[in-house]
Amino acid sequence: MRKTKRIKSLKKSRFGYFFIAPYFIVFLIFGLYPIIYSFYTSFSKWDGFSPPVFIGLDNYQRLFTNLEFYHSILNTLIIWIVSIVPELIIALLLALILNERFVKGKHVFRAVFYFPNIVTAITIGVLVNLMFDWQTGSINKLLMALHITDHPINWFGHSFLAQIIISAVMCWQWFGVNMLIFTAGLQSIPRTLYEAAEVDGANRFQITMNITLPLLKPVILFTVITSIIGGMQIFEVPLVAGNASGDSTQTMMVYLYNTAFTRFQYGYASSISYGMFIIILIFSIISLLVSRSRKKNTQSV
Amino acid sequence: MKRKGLSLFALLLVICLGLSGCSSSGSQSTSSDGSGKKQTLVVWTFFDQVKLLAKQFEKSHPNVDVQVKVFPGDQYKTKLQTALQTKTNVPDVFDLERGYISSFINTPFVADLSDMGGDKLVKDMVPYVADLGKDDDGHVKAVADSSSPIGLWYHRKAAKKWLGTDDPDKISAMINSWDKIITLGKKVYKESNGKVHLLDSTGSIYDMEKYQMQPWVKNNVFQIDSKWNDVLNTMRTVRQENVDAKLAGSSPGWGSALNNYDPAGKAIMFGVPSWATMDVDTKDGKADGQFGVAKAPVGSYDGGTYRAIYANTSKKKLAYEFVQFDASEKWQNYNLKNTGNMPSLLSVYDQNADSYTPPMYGDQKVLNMYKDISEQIPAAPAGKYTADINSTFGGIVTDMLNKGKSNQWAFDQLKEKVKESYPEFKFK
Repeated sequence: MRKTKRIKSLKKSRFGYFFIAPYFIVFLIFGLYPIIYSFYTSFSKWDGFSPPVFIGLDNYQRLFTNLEFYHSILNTLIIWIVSIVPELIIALLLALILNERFVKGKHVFRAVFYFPNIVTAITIGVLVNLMFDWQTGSINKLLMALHITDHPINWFGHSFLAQIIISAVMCWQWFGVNMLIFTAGLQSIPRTLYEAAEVDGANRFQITMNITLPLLKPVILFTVITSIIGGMQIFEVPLVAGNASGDSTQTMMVYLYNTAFTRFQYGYASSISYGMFIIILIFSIISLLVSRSRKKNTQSV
Repeated sequence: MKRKGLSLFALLLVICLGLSGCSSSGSQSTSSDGSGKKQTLVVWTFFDQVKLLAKQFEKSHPNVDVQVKVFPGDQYKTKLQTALQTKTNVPDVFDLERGYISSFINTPFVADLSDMGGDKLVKDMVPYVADLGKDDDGHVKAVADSSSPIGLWYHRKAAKKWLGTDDPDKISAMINSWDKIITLGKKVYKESNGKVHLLDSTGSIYDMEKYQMQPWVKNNVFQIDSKWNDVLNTMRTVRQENVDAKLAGSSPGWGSALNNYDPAGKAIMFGVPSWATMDVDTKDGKADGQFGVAKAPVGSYDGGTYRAIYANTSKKKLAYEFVQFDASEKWQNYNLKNTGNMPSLLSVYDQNADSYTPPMYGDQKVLNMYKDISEQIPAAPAGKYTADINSTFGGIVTDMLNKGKSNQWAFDQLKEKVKESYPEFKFK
């Protein structure tokens, strides 16, 4: 009886709302309002100077028939896949290794692997330009000094090479973050399970495959989903690194940026952002469904 | 009841605190009357050197406080556009870059300087500079204090070694056509055993020729000037004959080649605007006497910063005085001597022609050369689509050269891209 009374009195107190109000007010003004306004804008023609003119679904019709948009989706997917696969594998392997008792100086390694994420995208872009410059880049000079190639490679003159460079940079920039998330996941697995497996005579590989990885699945799923959301919005590094042959580094975000801030087509740019939202949503749902179906299969076995 | 009142007060406090961050600070004037108190003029720019202009203006207008706010990078135009659209926190005077000036000056947000006597300000300016600041109806909407002609900078030591002279006039005569440049470039490449190239990049040819062409869009119809065929052929020959060092303009490699004065360095000549001095390391007199400027086969320019007035500012008269000062001989003389920016007034070119010798050019009196180049540049309105389509085509042409494609391939690619970026155009 007393408990119910206390819960009721807690419910009645309105001060809690005031404490959380600043966040919600800021969110409503700077988060929700722009989202709703850009949705409205996506149905209009607007150059940012004159008032928006309602044009119905014209922007979406243009979006779905625009080859440049599809090209930007393909570029984004290629860059994302080429970066995310090695990124997650490296992050997982490093997390597993650094979780072992015999490794000394784990904290130093973790910090060092995280460092690339602190470097700003602008700096990385400039570094990439310096290293992969066609005529004067250090990578070409090294390759030529080692007689691997006779002529300098025009890295950004080849569509796929340019995409690989951007992917490699993304991988280098983000593997440390994912490694830390995996490490946190690994540390939450009870030690007793490992000890029981060791008592049963399992080797390190068997323990990893049968205990560590299955229990780490939710964390892996989390990183995959956040990587999808982040990966679909790749922006700074390709923008700073500059355009490559055949616009191969023009990701969806770069395309949106150019449309809005170079061509002043804010209405169409808004429809691109909603197109991106749908694509990210589809990929997120697919990854969720895949993980769920696997979970069901495991349970039924 | 008491609790309700307290709750209401707390809510109001939260809202006030939240909204205080969004309040407009505006361009407040300390006083706009003639009472002797200081007037404030707010100027927005992306260019740090405007502070120097403000200081000089304040010297001659002791009752004015010019507040210069510098927003570097791409965020500037977005910030300015937002301010104009929402009519909050709008500066009295703002800078516009050549790339997007047309989108701004054809809106009612920008004051018509012609109504205030602006035509007089640009009458004696380099014609191309004056025209870029005019709207589609030919009204003066923005004014520039400088011109930015492209010259072919050359390394003097390298020129002496490979061209036999470092005299600007002699070199200009040696390269007054693309054919001559190709012949000379082939010779340099051969004699240096493939180590030295005459030109930095085919991009320099593109940059010099792009403003010689008919506009991309006329009466909403997209067109490709047939002269592009010759230009692309020239660029292809330059590339095939190793006349250029394949240094992408403004890339780190290009920058290091520009600052490398070894006669056996990668390139001898660089197609750059007059303001490219900011790319040269002049510390400890390193660059003194290292450069000469020659005239390219065609006159061209790159970039340009224009000053405009907000149409609804309450300080239009003062803002106009500021723009007037910007366009004056007094300021442009000072600007030339202190920053090296080429003037927009032809009279300032003439006044300094015999005396202006910046250390990096040795004994060359560069103003005559730059004046000639500036006057050769065709005067034309900025064009809303020019910068974007020029940039798109530049990328396509680079691809064309790298992949060995035909001119028609480049034109088809451009048409496709423009169709997708600007579906409102008609295509022939």
